[in-house]
Amino acid sequence: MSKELLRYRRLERRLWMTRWLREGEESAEEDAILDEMDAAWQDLSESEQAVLRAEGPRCWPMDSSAMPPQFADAQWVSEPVAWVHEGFGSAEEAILSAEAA
Amino acid sequence: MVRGFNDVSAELSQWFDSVLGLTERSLFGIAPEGPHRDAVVLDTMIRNARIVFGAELDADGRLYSPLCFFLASACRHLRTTLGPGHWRAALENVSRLRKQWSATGPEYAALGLDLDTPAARFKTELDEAVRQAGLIDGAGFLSKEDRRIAIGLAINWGMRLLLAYAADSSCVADSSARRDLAWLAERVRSALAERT
Repeated sequence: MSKELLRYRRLERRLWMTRWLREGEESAEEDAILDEMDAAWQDLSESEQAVLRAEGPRCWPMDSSAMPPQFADAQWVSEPVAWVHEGFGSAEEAILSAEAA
Repeated sequence: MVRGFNDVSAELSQWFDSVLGLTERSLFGIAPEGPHRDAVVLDTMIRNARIVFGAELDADGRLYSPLCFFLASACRHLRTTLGPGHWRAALENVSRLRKQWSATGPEYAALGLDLDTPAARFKTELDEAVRQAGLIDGAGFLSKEDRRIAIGLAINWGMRLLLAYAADSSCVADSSARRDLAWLAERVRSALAERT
């Protein structure tokens, strides 16, 4: 998959999240992402654009007929990243640390 | 009493605000605001995601608490809440899938094929989203930004699972003021009936 399509997919996911967080209401952040998507679209090959057109939009979280975003083509990190407790080894450690403070 | 989608969505939003408020004051409130509380939120999200992931769907409400705690902690993690628009979109989705399931279920049965119920399909999607977010294995391969999106997606599927699960449950609301699974079931069934 081309890096241009990866970029477009990443923007699709960001747009989905932005719209979802705002219950589908328009926002300046959404406009900025849409502008970026317009530019990213121009960088796609014709065949990539055809694939995206055929599958339909994935960026409408409030529409029950729309496809959800997908991660199959996300840029996976090479090593698994563990969830961390912001500087603590565990929630228990964080609680004990808070009690001591 | 038949309730419309808008009325039920507003009630569900108020109900979930109560869940968020209570968990914030008690469950997450055992640690002070800041990194300590974030750690408790993350731990709650992981623990309940794993409970739901490993559970079977049932009719007597065993998934209700872990699912609600997962939704509350995931929303707290993303610093968001669930408004009427979110609940309405979820109700629409559940209604649509249930209609589709009712229409095609007998055809599948005639071919000897089992078609997952809407609740089972939403649970499969939720399971996949929490797995991709790295909540099940404790680590994942998604970038930090995509993890947030996976959690947003998990909340989305979790809401739909909760509504479909409530509609399928055997719980019947009584006259008490409790806003529990039976209360939820009554509203969801009423809204879905209005659309049939």
